[in-house]
Amino acid sequence: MIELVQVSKTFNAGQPNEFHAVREVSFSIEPGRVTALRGPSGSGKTTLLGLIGGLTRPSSGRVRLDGRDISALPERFLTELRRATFGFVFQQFQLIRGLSVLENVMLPATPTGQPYAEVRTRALQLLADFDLDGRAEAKAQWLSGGEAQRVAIARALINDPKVILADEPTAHLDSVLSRQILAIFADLRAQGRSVILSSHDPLVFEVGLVERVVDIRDGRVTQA
Amino acid sequence: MIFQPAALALLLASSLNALLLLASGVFALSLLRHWNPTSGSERQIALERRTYLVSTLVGLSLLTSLPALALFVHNADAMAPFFTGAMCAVGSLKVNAWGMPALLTMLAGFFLAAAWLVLNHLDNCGWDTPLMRGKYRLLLLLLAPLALAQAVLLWLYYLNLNPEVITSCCGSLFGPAAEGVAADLATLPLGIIQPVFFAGWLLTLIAGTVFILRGRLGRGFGLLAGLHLPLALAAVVAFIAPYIYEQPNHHCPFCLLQAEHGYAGWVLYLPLFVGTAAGIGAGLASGLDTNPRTASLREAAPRVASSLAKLSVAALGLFGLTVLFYLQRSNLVM
Amino acid sequence: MSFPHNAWLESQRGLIDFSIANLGRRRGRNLGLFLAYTLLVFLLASVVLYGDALRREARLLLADAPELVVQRLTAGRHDLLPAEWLDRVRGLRGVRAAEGRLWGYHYDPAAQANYTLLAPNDAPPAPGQVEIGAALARASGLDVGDVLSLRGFDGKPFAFNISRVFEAESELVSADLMRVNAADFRAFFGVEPDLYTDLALSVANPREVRKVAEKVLDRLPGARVIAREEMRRTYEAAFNWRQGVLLTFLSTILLAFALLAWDKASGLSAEERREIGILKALGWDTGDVLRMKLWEGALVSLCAFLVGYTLAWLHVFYADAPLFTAVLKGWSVLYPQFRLAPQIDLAQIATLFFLTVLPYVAATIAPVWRAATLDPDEVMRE
Repeated sequence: MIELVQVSKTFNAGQPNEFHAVREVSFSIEPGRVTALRGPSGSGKTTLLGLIGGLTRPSSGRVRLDGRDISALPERFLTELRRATFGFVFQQFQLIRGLSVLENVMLPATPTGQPYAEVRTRALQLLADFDLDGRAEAKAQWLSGGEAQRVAIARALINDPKVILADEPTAHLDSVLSRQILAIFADLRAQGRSVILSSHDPLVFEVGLVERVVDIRDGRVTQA
Repeated sequence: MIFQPAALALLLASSLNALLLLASGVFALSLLRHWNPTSGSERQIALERRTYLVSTLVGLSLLTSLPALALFVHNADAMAPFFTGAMCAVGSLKVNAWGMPALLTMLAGFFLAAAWLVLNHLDNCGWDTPLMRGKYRLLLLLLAPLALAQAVLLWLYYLNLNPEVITSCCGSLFGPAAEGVAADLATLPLGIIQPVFFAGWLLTLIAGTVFILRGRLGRGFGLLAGLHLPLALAAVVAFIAPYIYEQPNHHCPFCLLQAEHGYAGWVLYLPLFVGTAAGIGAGLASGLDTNPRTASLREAAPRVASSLAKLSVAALGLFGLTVLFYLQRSNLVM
Repeated sequence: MSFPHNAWLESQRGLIDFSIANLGRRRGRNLGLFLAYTLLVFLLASVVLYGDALRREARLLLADAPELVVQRLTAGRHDLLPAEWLDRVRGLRGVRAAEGRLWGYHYDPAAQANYTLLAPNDAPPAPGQVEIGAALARASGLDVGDVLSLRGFDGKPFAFNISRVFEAESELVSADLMRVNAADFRAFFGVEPDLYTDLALSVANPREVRKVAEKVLDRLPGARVIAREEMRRTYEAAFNWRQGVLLTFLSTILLAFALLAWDKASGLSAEERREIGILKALGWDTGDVLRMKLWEGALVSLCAFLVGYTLAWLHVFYADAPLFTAVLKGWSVLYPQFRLAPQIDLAQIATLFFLTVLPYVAATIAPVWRAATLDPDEVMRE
């Protein structure tokens, strides 16, 4: 259960280029559902997603995760929490070039200090789930769009997070790949995970995946 | 004299050290004024980020402090032939008034950096970083000025090395005829210093073991570890050194570092210093256990204290056993 | 005995793996810095290794030198002294032994080399024979049984039979020393029978050396007394000074290198910034990224140090350090060929570490930290 209470995020405060990305946003997200943040580019969706996922701290207001206030946590604790709770899927997937698929998938687990063999096994299992075990040693830059997409999601799942956050998952994708990724999200939802995504792509809202929509404009929630 | 490579290296190292810690001290001022962990303002985030830099710098300081100290003493020993009357590091260090103080600041620097890093590690285990202000006050008031003093003293020492000066040999400094602390230590009656030292050493180890097994006496152990250091050094001067040299009148703690004595000094001092630093750290950590202001450290503090105590007991135990080995091996009977 | 799984250790291993992969991926970019780093280590290590080796030679040379050497000065120049001076100092309290020494320099234009001829007091060679040092034998291609011909003080050739080739701990000694019979010496150099080159005094108690020297000066006005300690100090000071001058010159290179390192570490490409943002978004905190980057620096430093030091070693001990010979040995061209004895010295390595790796770390710490503290949010939007 994620709660935002009067959360604001301001960049370059007090300077001429001061920018209020998010203004006094309050709402809650229930676990186990698919929630979508809908709004045009520049509406603050990406920042809001970052605030929800503990990627960045609010300039004011509080973010609560299962009742615990995470807005004032020092970075170490926040990151530990984030690693265990959230899995990120980015626009353009953002895989690290030059590393293999397997290495990319194992990346989020490195700081946790779990035994290498265990993590490797888990990573290979995930790749198998996504029909990618044959591509485990391939370099990230050789993957097709669809493969990269699935590797990105496998990577997000390596620490077995309860919540998946996806920023504009279907931007830069054609309809076929878009439907594919949305189907994967539906699977994750079926597994009991929460999915929170930001998008302004109408396709996302057509396929019957999204259970709740939060509309955002100019950093404010217009409909929750 | 100043142009030796070792001297240049030490001056470079201590100057960099002073520069970096002073810069950290300046930052400490800013942090102490504006630190507000519950705020999400950009300034707070910037402060938090900078604490990473400072802890890395202090870590670097710690890493270089022991090797620098070792190099300094080794170099002083190597320079001894230059100075009339000098036979070991003591002579070189006494050529001017800055040598011994420089040595002391380097030693103090090591212990302070170690203590600071223990506090820093603990602080990071707490979700409200309860030790932040204390840490930076310590940095500002102790670590940074000490680093500056060390650099200044080192420069003064090397710039004022005059080979014409007749300096004292360790024999005259640590011999019975001289006056001063060193001579007093050398002439401590064996009937007193020997049992007192071994008793102190055993007591420290016992306190450490009790703490590791039962979790009690943590602060006491830290205190004992700290007190054990001067006691051990006194013991080295009073009887351990003579036994190693097999000469009842040779009390110098620096000649031990030379090759002709099997580098006994290094073998003894390294575990002693490491063990003392770890013991003090354990004491500090366990002291925070029950303090209400550091409630967030309740789990981490005992854990860290226990690890440090284990290291300390092992190192100090090794030190004592090494002493016993040298005593037993010696042909001298005092 | 099995070790419990240590999470911290495991995570460091993971970070190191990533650092190594990183270095491998950016080979081209890191190569320039690595070469500069290696060059720096090479230069500094060469100077230090060479100077220290020379100093060691000098120390060996002086180890057997007498505590006091008495010479006669005439018009401010070293002159031969009369045998009766020996009697005058022999009886002094504190003087354990005194002997007259016969030695001198001979310049051989054929070989363009300066030799030192010595007529030793114990185990002197037989008349007509000469014992030469191993390095000299090697350099001139001579061996036992060969005849060495030198021109005496009167221009007449003197034939010496090489009876022995001796090894010396210091190559410098064995490179120019020839031992001959006292009578041959006097005949060769035209030295009267009652004259010596100088006196060697052995003093039992090192603390009395100064007092004995004073007494000698009392008894022998016009004499110069040189203590071994003074010689040692002078040599060391000369080597120190020369080495120091070189090092100071090299400090400009050090500064340039530090700037280069700082610049390289600061100039993150867009790709690198993106990657750090990704890592942080995936769950690496600032400390993890910082540690990973510090490992990168450590690996580069270690490699550069090893390679640079090894190259310096080869340069000094196998190639005779052509770069520094002139400055460190002295401006005199007529130096004998000699090889330096290689020795590994932990203190020396520590010194080099402080002179090379520490500046690198100091220069790169701030930029590395800045990179590690990048806000993933900002990077993501780019």
